Amino acid sequence: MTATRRVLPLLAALALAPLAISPAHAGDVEKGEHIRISEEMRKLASRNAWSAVEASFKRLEELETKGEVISYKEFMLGATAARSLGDMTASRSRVERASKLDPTKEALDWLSDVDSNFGKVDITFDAKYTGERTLVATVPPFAPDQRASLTFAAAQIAAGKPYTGLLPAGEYSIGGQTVSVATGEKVAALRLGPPPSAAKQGFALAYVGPRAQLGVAFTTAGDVDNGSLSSDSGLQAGAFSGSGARLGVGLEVGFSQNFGVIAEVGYHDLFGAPSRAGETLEDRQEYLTSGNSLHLGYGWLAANLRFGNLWIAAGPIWSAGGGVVTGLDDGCLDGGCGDFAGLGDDGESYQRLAGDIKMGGGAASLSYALVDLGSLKGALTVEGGVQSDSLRTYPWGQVAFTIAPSASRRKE
Amino acid sequence: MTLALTLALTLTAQAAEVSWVGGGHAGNPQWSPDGSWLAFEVNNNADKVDLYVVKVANGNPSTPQKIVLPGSSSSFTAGGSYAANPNWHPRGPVLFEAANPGGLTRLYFLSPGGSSPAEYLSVTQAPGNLAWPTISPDGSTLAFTSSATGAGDIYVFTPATNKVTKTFASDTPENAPRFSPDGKTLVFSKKNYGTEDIFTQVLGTNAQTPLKGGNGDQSRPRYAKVDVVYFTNERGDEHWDIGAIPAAGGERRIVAQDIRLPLRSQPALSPDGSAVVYSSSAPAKDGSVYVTKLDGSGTKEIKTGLNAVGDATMVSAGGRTFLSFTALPTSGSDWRQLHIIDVTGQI
Repeated sequence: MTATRRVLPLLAALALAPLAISPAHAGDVEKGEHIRISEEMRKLASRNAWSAVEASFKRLEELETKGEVISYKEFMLGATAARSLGDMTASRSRVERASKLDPTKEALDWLSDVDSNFGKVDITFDAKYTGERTLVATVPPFAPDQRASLTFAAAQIAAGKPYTGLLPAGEYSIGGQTVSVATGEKVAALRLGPPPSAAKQGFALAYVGPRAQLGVAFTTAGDVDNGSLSSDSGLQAGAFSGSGARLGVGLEVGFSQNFGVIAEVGYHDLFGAPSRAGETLEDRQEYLTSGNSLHLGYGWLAANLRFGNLWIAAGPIWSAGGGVVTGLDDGCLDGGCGDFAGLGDDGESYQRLAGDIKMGGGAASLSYALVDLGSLKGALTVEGGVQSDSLRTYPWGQVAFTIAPSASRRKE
Repeated sequence: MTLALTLALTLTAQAAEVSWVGGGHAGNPQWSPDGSWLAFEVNNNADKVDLYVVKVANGNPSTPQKIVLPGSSSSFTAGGSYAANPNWHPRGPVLFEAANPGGLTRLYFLSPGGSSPAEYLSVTQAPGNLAWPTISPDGSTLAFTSSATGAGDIYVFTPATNKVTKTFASDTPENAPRFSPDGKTLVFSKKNYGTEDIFTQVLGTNAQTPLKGGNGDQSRPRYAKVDVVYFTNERGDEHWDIGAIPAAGGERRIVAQDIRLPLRSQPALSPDGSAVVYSSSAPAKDGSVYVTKLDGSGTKEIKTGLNAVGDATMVSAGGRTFLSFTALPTSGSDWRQLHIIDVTGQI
C-alpha cells in the first residue's frame, strides 16, 4: 500500500511529462473562441469592415500561439484585410502561409501579382534627422492596393517610424532624396541623415566655378612724374603705348546669387612703335628703331555684383614684368634723372631701355552674359584699369570674352 | 452535344463560344484594350448578377474566371448579389460595380490573373452607392456616380491627389459618364423635363452644357472621334436608334435604326472609332452584327448564324480584329451565350 502510494504520483508525473514539453494544444475555450472569431471575421468582411477583420485576425494569431490552427480561408481573409489597410508585407505573408496549407490557383496568382508589382524597401532615419517625413510617389499608383500600401508606409514614416516592407515598384522621394523600388529580392535602402550643421549652412555657396578671359588690350604708359625724379632715379623711358593681348584664368565664388568674388591671374602685354613728340620714330642710318614691348603677369582680386546677365566687378590689381622701350623721358633729357650729357637729342630719342616694372592699382569690368555653356556662361566684357609704378601711371582698357560660372543654385 | 454540333456547323471556322459552369444569360461583354481579356456578366434570373473575366488568345477563350468579392466566401452565389458594368483601365486592370447581398454597391478593382478584387474607394472617401465607373483615356482619372447626396451626382477621383471631387451639384441624377479623348470633358445623360438628355461638362468648371435633347430618351453617350454617339428612342419606346452629334454641337444624325439595346453599355465602336457596332431588334435581321461608318459611307453586315444577337463589341489585337457578342442558339430555348468571331478584313 505504501509502495503503491509512492508509485502513483510518479506514474502520474511521467504521464503528464510529455504534455509539459510538447507544443501548446488548444483547449475547448480556445476552440470556441476560434469559431466565434472566424464567424465574426466573415460577417465583418462581407461589410468591407477591414479594420475590424484585421483586429479579429490578430486575435486568431494570438490563439495560434495557444495551439489553434489558422485555416486557409482565415489566412486569405486576413491577407485581404491587411491589403485593404495597405500593409502589403503582412498581406503577402498571410497569402504565403495560406498557399502552404493549400496551394490554390487563387493564392499562387495573388503571390505572383504581389511579387510582380511590389518591391522591398528599407527607409530609416538617423536619430538626429529633423527633415521632412513625407513619402511621395513620383507616379501615383492607380490600383487601390498600391495606393493603400503607399498611404500605409507614408503614415508610418510621418509618425516618426522607419518603414521596412513592401511598396509598389517605382520611384519615391522623401526629405529631398529619392529611392527607387524594384520588384525582386533586392531591398531598396534609404537612410536619411542628420541635417547639415549650422556652420556648414553658413558657408553654403550660391555658386562656384572657374573663370577665364581672353581679349585685346590697349595700354598706355604716361610721362614720368618729374617731381618723382631724382638723380638716383636712373634712366627712365619716355611715354609709350601700344596694343596687345590680355588673358587670365581664375576662380569665381558666389556667396549669393548676386554677389561673389573673383580671383584671377593672367598675362598682359603691349607692343608699340617708338615715337618722338607724337610722331613715329623713323629709322635712321645710324639708328635702327626697335619696337616697344611690355610683358606683365598680373593678379586681380575683385568683388563681383550680378544683376541677371549683367555683371560688374571691381578690385585691386598687381602686375609685375619687364619691358623694352626706345627713347628717354623728357625729364631725363632735362637732367632730372642724372647726368647723361652727351647723348644728344637723337641719341636720347633712340636710346634703348630695358627694365623691370612692378605696379599696382585698380581694375573694373562690365560684362554681359550672352551664352549658356552648361554650368558656365559666356559673356562680352569691357574692362579697364589704372596702375602705377610710383613714377608714372599705366591706364589700360580691354575688350574680352569671359567665361564664368552660372549663378544658378549649386546642387548639394 | 447536339447543340454544340449545331453551333460548330453554323459559325465560321474562327468562331469560339465562351463556356462557363452553371447557367445564365451572358451580357455586356467588354474587351480589355489589348484584346487579351474579356469581361462579361452572367444573369441566371435568380436575383443575382455574376461577373466573369476570360483570357483570350488569338480569339480563343480559356476557361472564364468568376470574380469573387472579398468577404464573400461563396462569391455572388447568394441571392441579391451583383457585379456588373466592367470598365477597363488602359493599362490592364478592370473596374466594376458590385454589391454583396444587402450591401452597398461599391466600385471594385481587379487585375485579371492576379489577386482577388479590392474595393477601389473606401466608404470614407466616397460614401453611398457607387456606379458607372469610367476611366480617362490616359488612365489618370476615374469618374463615377454616387448616391451619397441622394441626387446621383458624378464624382471624379484622381489618384495623384487621392481626392474625390463632386463635379456638379444638381437635383436630378446624372448617368453613364464618359471622358472625352483628351480627358478634360465628361459627356453624360441626365433627366431633363422628364426624359434623358445629353450634357457635357468641362472638368474644373461648374457648368453643364446641354448637347442633345428632344423627344424620348437620349442616353449612354460616348465620344467617337469628333462625334458623340448615343442611344435614342425619340421615335417611341419600341424603337431604339443610334444617334451621332458633333461633340462641339450641331445637327444630330441617326446612324442606325431599330437596334437591339445593349444590356448596360454605351454604343460599341469599331477599333478605330470610325463606326458603330450593333445588332438589330428586327427579327429578320437579328442574326447579324452591323458596322456602320459614322461618316455615312456605308454599313457592313457580319452574319453569325445565331439568333437574337446582342451586346456586340469589337477589339483589335495582334493585327487582327475580333468581335464578341451574345446570342441565343438557333434552336431550343437555352441561355444567351457569349461568342467570339475573328472578323479581320470584314469591316
